Amino acid sequence: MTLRRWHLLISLASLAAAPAARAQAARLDASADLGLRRAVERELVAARAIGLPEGLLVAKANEGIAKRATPKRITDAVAALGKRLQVARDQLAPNPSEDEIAAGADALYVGVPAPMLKKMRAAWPSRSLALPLGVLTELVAKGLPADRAAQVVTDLMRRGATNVQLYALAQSVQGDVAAGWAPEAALDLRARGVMSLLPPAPAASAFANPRRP
Amino acid sequence: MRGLAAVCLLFAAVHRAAAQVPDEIRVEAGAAEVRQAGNRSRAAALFGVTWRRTRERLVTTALGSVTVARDSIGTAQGLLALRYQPAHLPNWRLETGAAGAMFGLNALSGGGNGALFSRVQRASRAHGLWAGAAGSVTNRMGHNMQTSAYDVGAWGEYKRTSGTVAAVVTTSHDTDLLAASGLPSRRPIGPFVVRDATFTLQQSFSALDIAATGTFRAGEGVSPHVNDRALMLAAAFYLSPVVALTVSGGRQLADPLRALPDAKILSASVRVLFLRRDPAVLQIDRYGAIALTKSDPEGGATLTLRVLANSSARVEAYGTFSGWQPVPMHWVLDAWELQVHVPPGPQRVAVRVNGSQWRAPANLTKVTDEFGGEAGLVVVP
Repeated sequence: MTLRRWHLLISLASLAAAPAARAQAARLDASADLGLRRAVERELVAARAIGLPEGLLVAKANEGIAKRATPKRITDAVAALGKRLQVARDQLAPNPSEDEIAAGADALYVGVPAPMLKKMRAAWPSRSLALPLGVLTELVAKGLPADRAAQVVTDLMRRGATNVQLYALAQSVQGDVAAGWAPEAALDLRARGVMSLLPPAPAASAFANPRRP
Repeated sequence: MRGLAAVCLLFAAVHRAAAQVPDEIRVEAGAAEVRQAGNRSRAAALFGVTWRRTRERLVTTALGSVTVARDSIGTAQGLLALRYQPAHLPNWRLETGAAGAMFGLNALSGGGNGALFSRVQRASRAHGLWAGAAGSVTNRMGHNMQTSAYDVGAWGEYKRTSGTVAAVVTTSHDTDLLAASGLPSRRPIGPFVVRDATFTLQQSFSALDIAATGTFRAGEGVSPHVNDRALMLAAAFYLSPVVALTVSGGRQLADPLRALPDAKILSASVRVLFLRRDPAVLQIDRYGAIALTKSDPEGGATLTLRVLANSSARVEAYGTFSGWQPVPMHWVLDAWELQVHVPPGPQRVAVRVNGSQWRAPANLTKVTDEFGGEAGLVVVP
C-alpha cells in the first residue's frame, strides 16, 4: 500500500471517529442510575427539540454525579441550565455560538439580568461575546452589582475595548479586591483607566463593529 | 508560669514577624523528658522556629531551636539549607547547607559543632534516590574533633504511606561522644567508624500523621556494644491545617556528625504554621491554594494550581478541565502542584486536602454551584 493510500485510509478513519468522539464527550456518566438517566434524557430531548447544545446539559449532569449530588438535585440543575441556555440563546440572537450561549448561561446564573445580554450583543453584534460575558460573570460573582458591572463592560465594548483590555480589567479588579479595595471602587478606577486608552466615542464607532476574524 | 509567659511572648513576636515576611514560618514549642545514657532523666523546654522561602527552583530553609533545662543541659542549634532544581534537569535536586550548634550538656563538656552537607537527589513523582556527603568539627573544651559521613538512600510513597531507607557510614574522632553514651572506645586516640541503616515509615490519616524511625548500627574501633538499634515514634494531630499537637518518644543513637548524644526522649509540643504573605496570595485561604494562568501561543492557557499542605497529605484538584473528576496533584519542590492546559472561556476549579471539602483557590472569585459546592472562577482569554 502506498503512502498516499495510507494517508487516505487514516483520514477516512479520522472522519469516521470524529462523530463517535463527540458522542463520547457528551455521554452521561456510566454510574448514573436508571432513574437519573431517564430524567436527564427527558431534558435532553426537550433541549434537542429547541436546538440547545446538549453537551452542556450532559456536562452539568456529570458534574452533579461527580459531586455525588442526589438525582433530584441533578435533574433540577440540568433543567435550570436548560432554561438559562434558552434565555441566553434568545438574548444573544441572532446567531450565538455554543461558547457564547454557555457564557451567557453562566452570567445569568450569577445574577446578570437577561436584558443585559441583549445590550451586550447590540454593542458587539458580530464579535464573540464569550470573553466579555466571562469577565462580567467574574465581576458579578466577586460581589459587584450586576447592573453596574454590565453597564461598565458594555460601555467599554461600545468604546472599542479589546478582549485583552477586558481581561486585564477583570484581573486588575481581582488584584485590587484582594488588596482590600471595595469591588465597586476598584471597578470604577480600572474602567476609567481602560477608558482613557480608548479613542474618543465618535471615532470609536468605526471600531465598534469590526469584521469577525 | 514565667516559662509559659516567655513562650507566649515568643509566639507573639514570631507572629508579628511572620506578618512582615513573604514566606512560611513554622513555630514549635513544647516540653521534653531527656535521659542520656548513664544519667538521670531531666525535663527540658523546647522552642524552634523554621523559616522557608520557596521560589520557582530554589527552596531556602532556615531553622533555629533551643533546648533549655534547669540543670544547665542546654543546646542551641541552627541550620541553613538550600535546595535547587536545575531548569534543564527537572528530576534532579541539589541540596547543600550548613548547621551549627552550641551545647552545655552536663554529661559532656560544653562546646560547639559546625557541619556542612551536600546531597544530590533524583526524584520522580512518587519515589527518589539520593547520595550525600557531610563533614563536621566538634569542639569540646578547646579540642577539635572531626567527623565525616556519606549516605545513600531511597524514598517512595504510595497513596498516604511514605517511607525511606538509608545507609550512612560515619567516621569520627569524637570519642567523648561515645564515652558519654556509655560506649567507651577501645582506641581512645584515633577515629572510629559506625555504619547505620535507617528506615522510616510514615502514614497519614485525615487529621493524624504517624511516623516510625528505626536505626540499626554496627561499628568498628569501638566497644562491641556499639552494635545497637533504636526506635523513635512520632505523631502529629492536626487541630486545623495550621495547628498541630505533636508527641514523640523513643531513643536516638549518638550522632557524631551533629554531636548529639545517645538519649531516650519523650516530648510533646504545639506546632503552628504561619502561611506566606506574598502579595500575589494576599487572601491566602485555609490551605494556601492559588491558581495562576499563563496564555499559550497556540490558544487557551496553562493553568497552574499550587497548594501549601503537608507533604504527606493527599491533595487533589478538579473542575471543568477534568469533567469534575478528581485529579491527584504532585509534590513539586515544596508544594503540591498541577499544571493543565485549559481552553479559552470561563473555567471553574477547586482543590481539596485529605478528602476534605472542595475549596476555591484563594485568589480566584468564588462561585457556588447548584450542588452546594464551591469552586474558583477563572476566565481564560
